[in-house]
Amino acid sequence: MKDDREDLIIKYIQDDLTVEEKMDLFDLTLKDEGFRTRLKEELEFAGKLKGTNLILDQKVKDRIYQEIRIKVVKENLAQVDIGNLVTEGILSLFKPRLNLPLFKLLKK
Amino acid sequence: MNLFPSFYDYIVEGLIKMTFEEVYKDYIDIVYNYLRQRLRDSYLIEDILQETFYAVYRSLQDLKKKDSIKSWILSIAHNKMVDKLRKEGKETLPDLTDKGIGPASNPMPEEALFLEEMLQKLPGEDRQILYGLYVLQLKYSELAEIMQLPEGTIKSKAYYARKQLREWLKEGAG
Repeated sequence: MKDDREDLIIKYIQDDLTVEEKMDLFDLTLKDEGFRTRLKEELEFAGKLKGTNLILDQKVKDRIYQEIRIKVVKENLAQVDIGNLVTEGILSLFKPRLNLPLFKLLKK
Repeated sequence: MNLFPSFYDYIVEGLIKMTFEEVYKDYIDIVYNYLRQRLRDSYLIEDILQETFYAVYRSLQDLKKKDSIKSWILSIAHNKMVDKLRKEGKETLPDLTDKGIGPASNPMPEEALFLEEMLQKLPGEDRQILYGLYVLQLKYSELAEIMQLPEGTIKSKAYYARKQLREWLKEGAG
């Protein structure tokens, strides 16, 4: 019974009560002073605990976000077919020179 | 070529569509506060945050199927934390002398500082349970899944931690 009451209070704090449980809670709040005190105590505790929440420094948030971006970019780069890119790059460098004698030959 | 293509992909929670950036903004402080209940090393916390949100980014597709983004992200963070603690070979508890507790931007109110001090007397796992129940409004079953503990264990740990804390707070106030 005691456990049920504690559960009811926790569920109330979590905003997770069913309609039936809401009625039980309402009933207990009206009739049982001990329950009322416990409920008040727990609500105050939840409020105080929320007060211990800290906000992470924006600079740290930005740094973490950037680190993730870098990681993603690196990973995506690793997936690119490097061999193909290198071959294409080398070919594009030599293309004009290779074509030049061919052009001269064709001109004749 | 776009090297960062899916970073802004949409994920769905119920009917709400969120980008990774929105998920990051909404949950980074929640995960930070959850982790700092147990860890004092701000660099370690930062590392875990980075690994957690990188994993979140990588699993955007899975996230579509999840009912609760909050407990899903906390599960990832908890696993990363356990891995790190295992590697370090010990549990790192918050430093009682470090009132700032890591790279936070807001000062803690005096009343909260007293509670924080009392909370630090509890084992890290118990602090995470209380924080999960009272602040993050997680159900016992969700916390059990995140922390990979039986629901009954979470319930009894919460009960005794809360009882102990109540006594300390009464003593401290008296």
